Amino acid sequence: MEVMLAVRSSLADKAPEDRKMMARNVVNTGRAFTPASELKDIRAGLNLPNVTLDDESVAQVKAAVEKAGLLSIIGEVSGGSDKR
Amino acid sequence: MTEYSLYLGCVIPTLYPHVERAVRDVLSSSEVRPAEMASVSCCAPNYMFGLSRQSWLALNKRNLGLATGTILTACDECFASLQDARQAISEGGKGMPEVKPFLVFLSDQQETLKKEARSLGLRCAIQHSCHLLRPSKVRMVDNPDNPVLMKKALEVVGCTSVPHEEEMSCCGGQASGKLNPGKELAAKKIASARGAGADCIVTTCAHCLNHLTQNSPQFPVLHVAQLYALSLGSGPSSVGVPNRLVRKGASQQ
Repeated sequence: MEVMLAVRSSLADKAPEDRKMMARNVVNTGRAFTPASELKDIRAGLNLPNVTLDDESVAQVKAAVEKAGLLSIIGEVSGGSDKR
Repeated sequence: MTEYSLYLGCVIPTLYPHVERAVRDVLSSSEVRPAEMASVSCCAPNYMFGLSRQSWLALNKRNLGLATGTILTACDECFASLQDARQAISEGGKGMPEVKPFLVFLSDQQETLKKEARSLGLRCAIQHSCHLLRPSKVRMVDNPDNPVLMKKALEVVGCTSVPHEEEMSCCGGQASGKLNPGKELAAKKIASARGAGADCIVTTCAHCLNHLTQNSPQFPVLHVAQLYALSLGSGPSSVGVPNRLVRKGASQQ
């Protein structure tokens, strides 16, 4: 919940769906801020590796945060890996 | 030789992929081939862990556990967050990987890199990031009142550091609020750099880069890796350096 509050604060002028996406990126994958489709193309153009996390990594991050007591956000924004 | 793992954080791969390209290009010119840390999460820096220390610690315990050897960071906020976490997890960081910021890495690799570096001829206003320098007894990177590492790093690529009035002030990136002091601080910083005759602002921190860039649509703000990559032979467009800046540097040589 705390992380979600921070995310909301920094994206106060954005639509709820955008905030939700960012929250999922930060907490579940740590890949914040960017709508994925154009980023994928830019990164490919620069010959950079994909930033998609596999499901196991996402599960590990979620477990770590859940263990620390941040359950609400996980429930609200969970949804598998960040498909880019 | 020291083993490294590359920690890029969130901001560089998602907002500034050209900086990531630059970091990788510089690494390929160095003696170091760091391991990838593909499954790391956010380092949950100050504006987040200020709200939940437990979550910050949990995330970084996992991040630190994924490293092989020393963690090399390309963002000073990541450096500070990971360095603080290793101290918090284990007294004195015992058993935890070392964390090294990109600027110190450049300093370590100076002899190797300068063999291939060509002079860029740019006049640079330095943005010293707070996270790299303070608290100095914890960070132990450079003198917080008279930092020299960045100036020396710029000399390697034939750039000059231009002193300016706001050189030691914060970029304002974390100063939010109704009166928006962060925007004001950034505007002062940019005006100070321009007024001193700099061609661009150069920083080592992705958050300083982001904040100043957002408040500086015209004046170039660069990560030091971009200048190094350019100097070592990367194309300006691939590492996100404006062509007009390249031309300006060439004309000043």
